[in-house]
Amino acid sequence: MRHLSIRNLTARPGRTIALGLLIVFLSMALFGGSVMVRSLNGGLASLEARLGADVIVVPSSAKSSTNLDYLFLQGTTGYYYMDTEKAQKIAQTEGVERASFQIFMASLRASCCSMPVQVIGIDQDTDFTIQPWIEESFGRRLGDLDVLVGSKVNAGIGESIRIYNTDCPVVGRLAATGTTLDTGVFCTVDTVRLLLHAASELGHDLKISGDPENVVSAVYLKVKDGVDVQSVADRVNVYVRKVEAVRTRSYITGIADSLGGVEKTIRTLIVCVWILAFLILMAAFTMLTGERKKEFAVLRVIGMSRGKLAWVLLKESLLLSLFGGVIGIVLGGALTFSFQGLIEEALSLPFLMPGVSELLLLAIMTLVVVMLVGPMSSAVSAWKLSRVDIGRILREGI
Amino acid sequence: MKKVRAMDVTKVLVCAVLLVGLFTVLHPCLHEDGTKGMCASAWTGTVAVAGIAAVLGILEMFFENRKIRTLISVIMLAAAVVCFLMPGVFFRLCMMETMYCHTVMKPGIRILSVCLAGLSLVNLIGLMRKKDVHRKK
Repeated sequence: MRHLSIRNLTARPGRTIALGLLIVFLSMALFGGSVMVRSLNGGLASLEARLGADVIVVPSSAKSSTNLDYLFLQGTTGYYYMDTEKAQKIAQTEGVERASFQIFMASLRASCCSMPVQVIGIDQDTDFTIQPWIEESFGRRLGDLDVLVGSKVNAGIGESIRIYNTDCPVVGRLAATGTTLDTGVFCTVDTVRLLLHAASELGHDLKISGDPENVVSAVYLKVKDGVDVQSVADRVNVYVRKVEAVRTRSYITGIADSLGGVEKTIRTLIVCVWILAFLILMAAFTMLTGERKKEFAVLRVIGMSRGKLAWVLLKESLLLSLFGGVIGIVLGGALTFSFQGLIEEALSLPFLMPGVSELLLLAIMTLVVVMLVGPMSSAVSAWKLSRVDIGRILREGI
Repeated sequence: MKKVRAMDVTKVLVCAVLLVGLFTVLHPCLHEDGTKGMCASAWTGTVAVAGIAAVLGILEMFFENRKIRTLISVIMLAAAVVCFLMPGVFFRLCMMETMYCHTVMKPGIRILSVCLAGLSLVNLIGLMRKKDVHRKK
């Protein structure tokens, strides 16, 4: 009698598989959905942490060559240039505490990647946006031609990336950010200038007006405490010609709003799936209990108490929930992990998978919820079962 | 009439899905000029191994001898493991993880390989258990 629930489940594999599949689907939806919501939140938090600048200034031409929303949303850069004189003028704007510039360039088709890679040159002496992130993974200064690669560029330390016929040794890999910065290649400003020369020697038109030694792509500003960020951005827009100064915070808020919408949709879908599955499970258990009335009546006749009978049914649903839940979590995890690149591409939002400990916590929480919902859906049937009239069932055969 | 085993049919179906997938959605990265990316070697290797697995799966359906069936199951299990390791371990993929071979080809091949390996393993355990039952008799 101790293993009656297990025997009941193994004796009717068709019924067990059908109910189990429903629970697998439930836990897959809950676990996969939760991981996605956490990843979107993680991506936004990571983007927020990386954007250490209050104001970003780009040449006005950047507006036509790249989508500025996308520049802030994903950290994607483009290639556009302005004179260093302008950068110096911007840095001297009233209210600016720190200023640093970067140079961007897109390779044609780097040897590594069969597609253009974004090369970002940083000024190591003044940089305060990317340097803290680089220091997490790479503790020293970059030399000439040394490059650091984002987490999604599969080039190992010691290998080289060939950009415009120039071999650049990879000296480090950076931690994942969940943004397109993960596909970037980072180096010093001098290295980018060398690469710009190499490109022009190969005859590529990079649309640089003037001397490559004398250009920058973007200026990042940190505003002094107590100074209104918008007023600094306005001042730059008024006093420096042909540039576009944008507050990063307003973009972050915009992203957070759109992310909130996506998150709400995912949560609503999960709740709908759960309500539907709970109702289906309840109906399935009620129907199955109805079919098994005779079996339960016989068990009552041979001396099983009402409570024990209800416990047998609850134990069956508990076992189903446990196995279905574990399989669902494994499948949900495998699918989400395997296709995270595709999900990220489809959502076009910062997407950073949670760490192992958080994933384990999510898995445990999913299992707990599944193991509560499964027995809850069979509780009504178990209660009804304990109230049946055995004599009538056996006499009338219903 | 010869008995058709559901497990054999399922294994052949998974191999067929993998092969059809490789020639449709699970293709390697393509450059603008029509040439294939460096992930093409992994794709070619997987096509070859999946093809061998499919042929073996079809052959298994016609054999009744337990030893031959066990041998075929072991080879199919090994083929599934090789298919799993082909993209990224035996052959390098393109270096940008946002590229098609990383986002679609590799996960697709790996999920189908796990299915094939799981089925082959279950089949193998079933064949081994039959052997034990025969010995006990």
